[in-house]
Amino acid sequence: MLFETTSFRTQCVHAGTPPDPTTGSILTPIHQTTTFVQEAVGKDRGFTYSRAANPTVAALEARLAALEDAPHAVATRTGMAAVTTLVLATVSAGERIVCGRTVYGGTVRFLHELIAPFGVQVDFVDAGDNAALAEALVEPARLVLVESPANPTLELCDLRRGAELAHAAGALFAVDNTVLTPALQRPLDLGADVSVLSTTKLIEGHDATLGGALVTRDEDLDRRLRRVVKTIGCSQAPFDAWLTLRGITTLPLRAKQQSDNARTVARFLEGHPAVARVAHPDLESFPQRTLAVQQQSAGGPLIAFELEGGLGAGTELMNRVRLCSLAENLGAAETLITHPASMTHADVPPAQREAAGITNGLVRLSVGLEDPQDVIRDLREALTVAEAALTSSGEVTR
Amino acid sequence: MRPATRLIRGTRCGHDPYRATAPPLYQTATFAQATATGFDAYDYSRTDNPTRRLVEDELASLEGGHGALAYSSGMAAVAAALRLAPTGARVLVAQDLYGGTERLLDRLDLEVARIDTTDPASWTDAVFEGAHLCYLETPSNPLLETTDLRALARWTRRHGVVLVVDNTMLSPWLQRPLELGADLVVQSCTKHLAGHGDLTAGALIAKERALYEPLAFQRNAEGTALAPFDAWLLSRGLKTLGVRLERAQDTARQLVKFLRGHPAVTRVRDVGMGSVLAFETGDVARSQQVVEGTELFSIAVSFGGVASSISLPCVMSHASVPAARRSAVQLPPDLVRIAVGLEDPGDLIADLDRALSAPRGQPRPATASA
Repeated sequence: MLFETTSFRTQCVHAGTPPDPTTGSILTPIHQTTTFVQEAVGKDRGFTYSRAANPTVAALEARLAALEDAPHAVATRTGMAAVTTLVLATVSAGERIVCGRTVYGGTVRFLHELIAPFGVQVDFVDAGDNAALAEALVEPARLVLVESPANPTLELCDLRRGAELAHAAGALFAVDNTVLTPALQRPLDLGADVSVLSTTKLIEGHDATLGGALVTRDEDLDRRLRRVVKTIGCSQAPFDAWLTLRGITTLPLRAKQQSDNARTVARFLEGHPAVARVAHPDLESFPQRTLAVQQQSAGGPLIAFELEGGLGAGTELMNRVRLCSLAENLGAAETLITHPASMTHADVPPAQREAAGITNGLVRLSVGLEDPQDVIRDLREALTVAEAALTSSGEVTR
Repeated sequence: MRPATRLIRGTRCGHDPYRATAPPLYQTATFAQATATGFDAYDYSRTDNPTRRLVEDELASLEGGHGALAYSSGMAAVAAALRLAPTGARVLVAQDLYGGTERLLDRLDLEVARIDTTDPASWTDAVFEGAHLCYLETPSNPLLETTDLRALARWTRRHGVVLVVDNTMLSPWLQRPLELGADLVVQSCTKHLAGHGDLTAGALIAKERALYEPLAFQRNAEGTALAPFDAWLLSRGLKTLGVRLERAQDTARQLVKFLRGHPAVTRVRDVGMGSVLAFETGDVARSQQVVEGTELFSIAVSFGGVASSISLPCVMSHASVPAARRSAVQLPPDLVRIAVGLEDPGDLIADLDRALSAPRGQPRPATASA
């Protein structure tokens, strides 16, 4: 770093991007190049071919590392490429992965359909239950992967305890920190070996890129991760890396504002008669409220809720909102509403969905930067119209 | 729709058949036409482009105008506004203007008359009589003096003078001149609107169609419109205008409080809002040492970005103002301008404190760097 400071907000603006040494340009140039001229055989400046390393991507990696007080980060083309890289770098045939049963549907699909057939044992466990996690880790494992809060139910994993249990079983402890980002939660400080990020979400925050990252303080692991990225070619593109760097400059502002907005909207939902249950870590009624306060600095942008009318009512609501967009992503600047059972988690086997609490009636709301009163008005109006439609068609009798 | 919501929804492309939440980038020069004889909505990007139109509609909505036109830089917008006045016309301009605007005024064939926009007592019928347009910035840059726009608009309207206000310093998030009586707003979108220091862009927002149409004709004829990619980046930046400006303003207030209590500072200028402030030390060499002694602040012109910057306007952004004019507006040579970004206020204050407290003539003690 050029200056003596470690404040998170300052890092978000400056880390990894000193002014360009040749021109003084405050922003890092986009090195949109495939290859780099080498001075002599065997002599380069750290960059040879952009699949292996690129200066703009390296700047993003340096910033992502700084945000988690880590020396290393490796950026990938998508969030799923980060999960793929992590698994390929750490687990071989005949070894075992323990994964939280409530994780993004793409992670479940990858482990079930692509990794298990190669002779890797994949066990899904209730990571929100320390006893269940301990029981699953009686048997050795190579990798434990959890999300906290879990997408989409927002169930928390006790990360400090999870790290102890994973390490005792000889496993690396990986935490998917996509929902909260280092602005709101620091898994490495709680004992995790690697923080997994889909930068597509709150990190970049403008719904304009795809990207992933793996952040670690383990030098050997970083070396293995880089080798996989270079080998399978899932490296981040320079332009997307540059857009992600720009997005991070406002990450602390967005993370705080979206958490505040989500809390306001969650309180509204909690008081609405058509709503059966609401989960948001900032609600007093949140079952793991104490753990949330211990390991998160705010509740984050996601809300999970279910209507009294179940799936029928939820579908009516999602089809009738006007300000909220029915879309997949989360953490974006605009409020997105999602039906996990048919959208983000459609490829999770129904039995696992049910066990994880991803009911057909579950609605996921990712609250954006709009004025929360406008989001509330949209939800209130949609709930009223949805209820009237269902009552007149005789679908709901309460 | 409340302002925060408008920032998010305004940059959504309504006609995109795929309903992408980030607007499509129409990086194209031309558009195929349905027939040989009629023009469709878009034909050539110099005239109009869907990505640029999206951000223009958003700017018009934010400023409360009939329409907006985006230009390749703030100065391209200023030039287009000033050329509403025909050759030889009398124009009224404020005392304290951005150096680039002064440089342009020097070259245009206009009868430039200065008006103290901050002093209503100096306004008389004779001042406005026969003038074609009146051009000002409020708050002014870098002296941060404000103009009572409502009061001034009463005079310009009575005399048929086009009132043009550069609203770059506060942006429509904090001030809407068209609602206060201005006819045309100038924005250097490079600053708060884009907000990330990643492009140069300008805009004119006209209150009425009658002013918008000739400007649109002129821009198409001269080819000064904003490039589609920069328009796309601008639309992306607009989404966080509210959170950025609120945060920067909050930090700026903390810096003002700190500077007011610092013994090396003789005067602090601020308007209580926005992200720009200025101070004096009573000693040019001292001011220069402070500017060069900070580490977190880039020595750079411009403002409204995510990274804080510091400058000596007399020798940097306003160097193009002739010395005679600089002394006429009493631009103090020791004036230091600070443009506040999104860093932690504690970090910024500590950095300024070290630079201000270093003994005169001595470089600051080296801090640890890795």
